[in-house]
Amino acid sequence: MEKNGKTISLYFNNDEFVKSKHKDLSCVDCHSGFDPNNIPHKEKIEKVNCLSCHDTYGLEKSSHNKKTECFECHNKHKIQSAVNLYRDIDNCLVCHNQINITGYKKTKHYNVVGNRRLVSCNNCHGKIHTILSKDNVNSPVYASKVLNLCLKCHSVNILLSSNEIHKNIVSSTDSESKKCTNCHGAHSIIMEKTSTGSKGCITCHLNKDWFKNKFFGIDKIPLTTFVEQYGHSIHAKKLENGKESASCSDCHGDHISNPGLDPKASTQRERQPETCGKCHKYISQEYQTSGHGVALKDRIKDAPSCSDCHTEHGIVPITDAKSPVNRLVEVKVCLKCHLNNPDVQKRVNPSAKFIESYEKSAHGIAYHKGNTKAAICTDCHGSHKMKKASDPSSSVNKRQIPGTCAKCHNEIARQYNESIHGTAFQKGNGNSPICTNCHGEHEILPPTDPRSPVASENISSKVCGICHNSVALNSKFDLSGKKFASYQDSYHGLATTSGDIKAANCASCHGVHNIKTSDNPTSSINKANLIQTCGKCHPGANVNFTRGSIHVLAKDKEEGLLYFIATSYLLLIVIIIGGMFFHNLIDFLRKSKSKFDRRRFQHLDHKFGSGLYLRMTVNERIQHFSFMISFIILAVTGFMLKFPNAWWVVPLRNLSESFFEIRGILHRIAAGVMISVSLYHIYYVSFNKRGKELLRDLLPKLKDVYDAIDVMKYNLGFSKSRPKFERFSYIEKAEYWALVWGTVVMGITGFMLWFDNYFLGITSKLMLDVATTIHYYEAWLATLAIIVWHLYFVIFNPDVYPMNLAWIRGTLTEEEMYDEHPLELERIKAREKKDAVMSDESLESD
Amino acid sequence: MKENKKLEDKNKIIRFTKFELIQHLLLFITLLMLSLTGLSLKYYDSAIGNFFIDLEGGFKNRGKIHTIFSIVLILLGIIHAFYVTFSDRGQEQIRLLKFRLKDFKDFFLSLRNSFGMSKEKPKFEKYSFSQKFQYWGVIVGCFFMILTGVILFLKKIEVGMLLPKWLWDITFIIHGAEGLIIFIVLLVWHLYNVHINPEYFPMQKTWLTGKISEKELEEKYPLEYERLKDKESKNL
Repeated sequence: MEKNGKTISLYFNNDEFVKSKHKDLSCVDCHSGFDPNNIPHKEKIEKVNCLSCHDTYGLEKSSHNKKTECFECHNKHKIQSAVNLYRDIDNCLVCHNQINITGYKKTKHYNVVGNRRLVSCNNCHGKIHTILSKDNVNSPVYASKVLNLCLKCHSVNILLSSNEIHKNIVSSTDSESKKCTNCHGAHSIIMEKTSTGSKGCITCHLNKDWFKNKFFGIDKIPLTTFVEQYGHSIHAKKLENGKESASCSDCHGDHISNPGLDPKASTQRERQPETCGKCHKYISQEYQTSGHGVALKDRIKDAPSCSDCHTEHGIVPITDAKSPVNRLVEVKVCLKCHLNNPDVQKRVNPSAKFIESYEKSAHGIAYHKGNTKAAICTDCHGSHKMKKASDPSSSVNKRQIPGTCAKCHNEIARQYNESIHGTAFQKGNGNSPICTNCHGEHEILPPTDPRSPVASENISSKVCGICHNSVALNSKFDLSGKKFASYQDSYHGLATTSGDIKAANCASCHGVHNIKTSDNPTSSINKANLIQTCGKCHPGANVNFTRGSIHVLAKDKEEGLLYFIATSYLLLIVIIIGGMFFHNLIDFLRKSKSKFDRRRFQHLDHKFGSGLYLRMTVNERIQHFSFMISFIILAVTGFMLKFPNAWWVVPLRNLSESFFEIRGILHRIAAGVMISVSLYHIYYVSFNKRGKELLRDLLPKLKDVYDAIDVMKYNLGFSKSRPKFERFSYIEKAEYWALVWGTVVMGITGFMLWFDNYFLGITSKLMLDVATTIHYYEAWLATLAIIVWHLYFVIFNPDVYPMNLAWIRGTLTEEEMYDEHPLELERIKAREKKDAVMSDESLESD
Repeated sequence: MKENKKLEDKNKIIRFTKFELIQHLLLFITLLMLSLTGLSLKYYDSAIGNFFIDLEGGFKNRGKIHTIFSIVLILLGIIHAFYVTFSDRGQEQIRLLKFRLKDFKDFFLSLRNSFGMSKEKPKFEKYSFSQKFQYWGVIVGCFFMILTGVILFLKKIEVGMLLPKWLWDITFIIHGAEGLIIFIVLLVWHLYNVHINPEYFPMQKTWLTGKISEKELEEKYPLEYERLKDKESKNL
């Protein structure tokens, strides 16, 4: 037919019509005023009025009223019953074809269960004829009713298990508040993932107004900014199916999601290994057996979880420069705890200094220079596999170290594995050195650095010698203990000790990583290779050069000729020097004797009388002698204890094992003698007439100060006259009172140390330590005072040299009296004169 | 006062010339430095050795000082050899320093005297047996030290490669032990004679003044005294 001048077809599919509900009706029942036999049909076909037969079923109240014709849902000729219409939701979607609504077709709701959709339009929107807009309060999908609508099918448990915030928002009757549909979408309901992609979470979580830039956690990042970071993360990257590789709910859970700090939250630090492990299964397993994982499990404070290293939302691949665990910056992440966190430092063994030393190591320096191949923390310790070195499976455990280092240093590792150290290690010898034993651990330095243990100047004494000079290891492996000592005493050793880095060290001859025993033909110290090895430093070295043993120790009998020469010299020293000493000793005594004799008997100039003046009585001499002997014994036996390795103690110690026991007994006997003499001396100066006089004469006087000054003046040439001394000069007085002081101090502290257990009980350890310290230093003071002061005045003083004999003979000559004690001499002479006069007078009077 | 001193000086007889005094002073300084630097190496592991090594400015300086003074010693040896071979006075001293049978007799006599077995004291010419012994001891000792020292020094140059290793070992031991002996001899013998000896304590000053009083000469070196007197009277 024609319509508006165009030809249109009025064809309808009769097959569909005969299947329809109206199959029993004729055309004109609906198309009133239409004559089917008038062909072609007239232009105008009257509008079908369905209401002539059908009820409206409340259609006039619905949103469809006057907007939608019956046939738009029911079709024109292919009229279906209401039941069938419900089944075939596609009819709604003809008009409601917006993408968000058609998304419904992809959802589980669209699935057919039995002979109908699981959830059809009317299940939510209500009966079709009375359907209302979602903005209408009476609509079953009105915001405040959505929750109840969903709960018709979905378990209330979902709601109950969701986090408090979400629960409150969803349960609110406030029309503004968010509903199930806010996350899941209304039509295109997504079951497995709600994410930024689905806009489920970000509608709220990226809404700055909603959160009013609340602060989150310790990071002080506005929440929205924090969430935004996810957008740049590797997890936000879309997979082939258009979904994020890990969406919000993958980590946070769905209804159950809780804020990160909530102990129930899946993103809570302690639960991260499990949560992340959903995707990162093997890494998570490795992590959970690692030191960090175990610590986290044991709820140790600050034990790192996934996010502590990898960050949270903004996770990027470690190859990305922005990743905190990228090779270029990874060290900082480790040091954040291991260097800067005192709690962690306290808990894990290595000191901060030890860890920090990495920064100065060859690895650390190369790393700081930007060398991406330089070893960083994780290269040796492993990242997720990181375990304490004590764990046998740790990559830094002694058994694993060679393998760990070999990852980069493979040529060296090959040499090491062939070496004696390497083969022994592989056989399970725990004493055999591995890489770190020589090179250090964190502080590995290049061998050119003088601070490195493997630097030329250090390697022999600080690396090789540690084991090869060890009695325990040498006896365990039946190695010769003299090798190291002989090296130290050799030219090479001395030159190295002197800091000559060109001189041969152990490694120069034995090799570095490829050390082998001399019987190995590929060893650098094999007899056949020696010329070449020595020739490295000694150009022109020939067979001659290698003749003789290499490690020689002249003290060793096995050396034959060398031993003979060395021993001969020792003998020579003893004979020649001993002979000389003996000769001179005799000479000394003889000459001393003649000097004493001259002093005593040959008054050549006859200036002085030949009288002898009593200086010390027999009693006093015995006191002095006992004191002297006990002092010497005390000093010798005391310093022996303090210096057991001194050259003069070692041979004595070697005499007998009980030598030190005897030493202690001797010390105590001498102490007893000294205290007895001192006590007697107190008695002597208190009660004996001569003793009291002695004490009186020894009391310091003002004159002594002037005397000391005058002597100094005279000795320096400022004054021509020497002060005159009384019976005791200031020198002797100082000596006497110093001795009194010293004896008291040494006596008291010595007594405390003698009965240490008793005094520990009544005082304290500190007091005993104080006593020990005083006893030791006072001993030095006393001994040096005796040598410098007393021995000088009685021996080395040129006036009396070789000795003032008063302590033996008890008397002084008149010359000595005149020199040393002129005032006393005057006094005595005056008294004698007086006595003589007196006696003369008495004679006369008689 | 000054005149008095001059008078005293007149009575003094020159025992050593200035040149000899300088030789002695140089030898004294050289041997002291060589001993300190050498022994501090020999006993590098003892506290005293360490102390001296530090004093010498560390190991490297120690070696340099040792080498420098060894060169001084060699030069001194050459000068002395020339002196005793070509100068009149030098030749005379060597003649006086030669060992004679009398020296052995003197030695035993002095021992007997020391023990008080004899009151007779040996009479000496210019040099007593002990001084002769000292002189030749120093000559032989220095010769050995220079010889072994030079061999050890050869090690630093290529020529040394022709010598077998055992020779190094021996030289090394001899140089160390010989050095020790010389050092102790100087302490026990020489220092005794000029310092500790009660006749001279605190010091015999001849090594500084070069002179000896007539009285002392008569007492200590009567034969020389007689010889000089004879010469004087002949001259007169």
